[in-house]
Amino acid sequence: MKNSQAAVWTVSTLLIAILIAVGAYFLAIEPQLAATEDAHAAKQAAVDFNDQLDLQILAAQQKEKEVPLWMGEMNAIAIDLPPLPNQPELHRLIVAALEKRALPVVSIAYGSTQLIAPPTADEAVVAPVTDEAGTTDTAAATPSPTPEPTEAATPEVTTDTAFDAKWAVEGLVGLPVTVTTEGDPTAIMQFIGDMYSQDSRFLTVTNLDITRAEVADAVNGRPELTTSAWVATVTYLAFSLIDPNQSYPVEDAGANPPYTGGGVANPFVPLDGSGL
Amino acid sequence: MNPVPASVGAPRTPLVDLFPAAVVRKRADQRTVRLLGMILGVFVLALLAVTVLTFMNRQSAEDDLAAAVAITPVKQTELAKYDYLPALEAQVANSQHARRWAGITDIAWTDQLSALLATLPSSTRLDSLAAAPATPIAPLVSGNSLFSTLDLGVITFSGDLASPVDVAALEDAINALPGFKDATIDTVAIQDGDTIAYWSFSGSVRITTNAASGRVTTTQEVVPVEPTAAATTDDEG
Repeated sequence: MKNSQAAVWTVSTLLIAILIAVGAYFLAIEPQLAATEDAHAAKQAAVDFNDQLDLQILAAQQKEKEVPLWMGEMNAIAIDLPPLPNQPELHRLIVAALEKRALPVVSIAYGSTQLIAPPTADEAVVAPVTDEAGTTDTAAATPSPTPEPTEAATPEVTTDTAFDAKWAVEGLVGLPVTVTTEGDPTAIMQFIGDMYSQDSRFLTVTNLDITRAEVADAVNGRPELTTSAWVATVTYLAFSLIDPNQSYPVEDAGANPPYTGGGVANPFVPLDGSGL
Repeated sequence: MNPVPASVGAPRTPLVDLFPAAVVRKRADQRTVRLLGMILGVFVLALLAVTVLTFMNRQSAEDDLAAAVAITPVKQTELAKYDYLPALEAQVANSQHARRWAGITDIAWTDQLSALLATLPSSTRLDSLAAAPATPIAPLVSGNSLFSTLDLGVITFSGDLASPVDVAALEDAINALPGFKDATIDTVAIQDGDTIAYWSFSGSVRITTNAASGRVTTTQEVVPVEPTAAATTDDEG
């Protein structure tokens, strides 16, 4: 009798303890544990994200060290490919080069600017080009039924999208200029060489026409032409690279002086000695 | 009464259980209840302690989370200072590509022309020579012949020869030059001169990629330039 009552008490107490424990776990402990776990997970995610940010900052800081070199290279390229057509400078350059070799300016004709876009991978064939340093690189080409085999490398047809990334160019503009001169062959070759080696602006020849000159006496500053003289017409392509910050300069505000009713400059009068 | 000597070890009070059995059981039950109550109380206290501990852990974890989250905007602000870099890098790459493309078909014409003229047979006289090289607009071109391959353009020429057989020597001489191939004569026709007969001819030769100058990078001096704050702001804009 005594033992059974103690057992009842014990069992009852055990049941109550279990009930309290279960209640405490589900009502108080488990929510805290879940919240703690969530907080830990969220904190780990935040820490990971912060670590990623740290890595990105570190990478950006490393990259930023290259910025001065980038700017320097862009400035150097901007000399070759200025952001504006700079026709006056180009004209002075050509005339000075002709004068240096005592060649007459027979004519200089400027074409209209045109946008130059390399072909895309779908329409391109890759052919090797060896640069001045002797390293071989690839250049895009218009499609052809038979790619050209060369000693440097065998060209390959490619549809690799990396091609577009490598060759994609935006804002490259070409300004054609055709120069005609005449005279001594050596002077003309030297003129072509001067234009090739000058450092003021990058020019490439897109047409070259040399003919035997008609015999003529020296007249009005033009040299005497013999049967050994050349008439050379060279078409250059001068380049510009559009820079949104520099290619569209805003004109300063201002106004020309008003006409007051007096005499006017008259540039329509023929040049002295022109015979007009 | 004589005291019991201590050496005997007798209890001080008499050990006689005089309570009734019911009282003894009641007391035993009360002890059991007290014991169980104490155990239950300790258990509840332990549960309470565990609850408090988990609560403190939660607080600590949430504090850590708040600290970690608080750093994020600072780092994002720091990173945002470099937002201009991708655009600038793309601009640099575009400049390099543009420069490369501008020179992709460039030819050192003085070298090529002087070599070409020097290799002509001595009896050759030219009337005209016209080069139509490839351009960055049309990078590589191909001739009309079934044997044509991609190349850097064509030079057409016309002139006079003292002997009709010299045409073959002319073609061989030109083809032997690096940078030229597929020299082709279109016409050879006899002409009556004042005192001799001579032969006029016209033809063409293809320009190969060997003639490319390779001027695909700038030759200007690259001077590192620190970006100005204004330039950086422009780029960010």
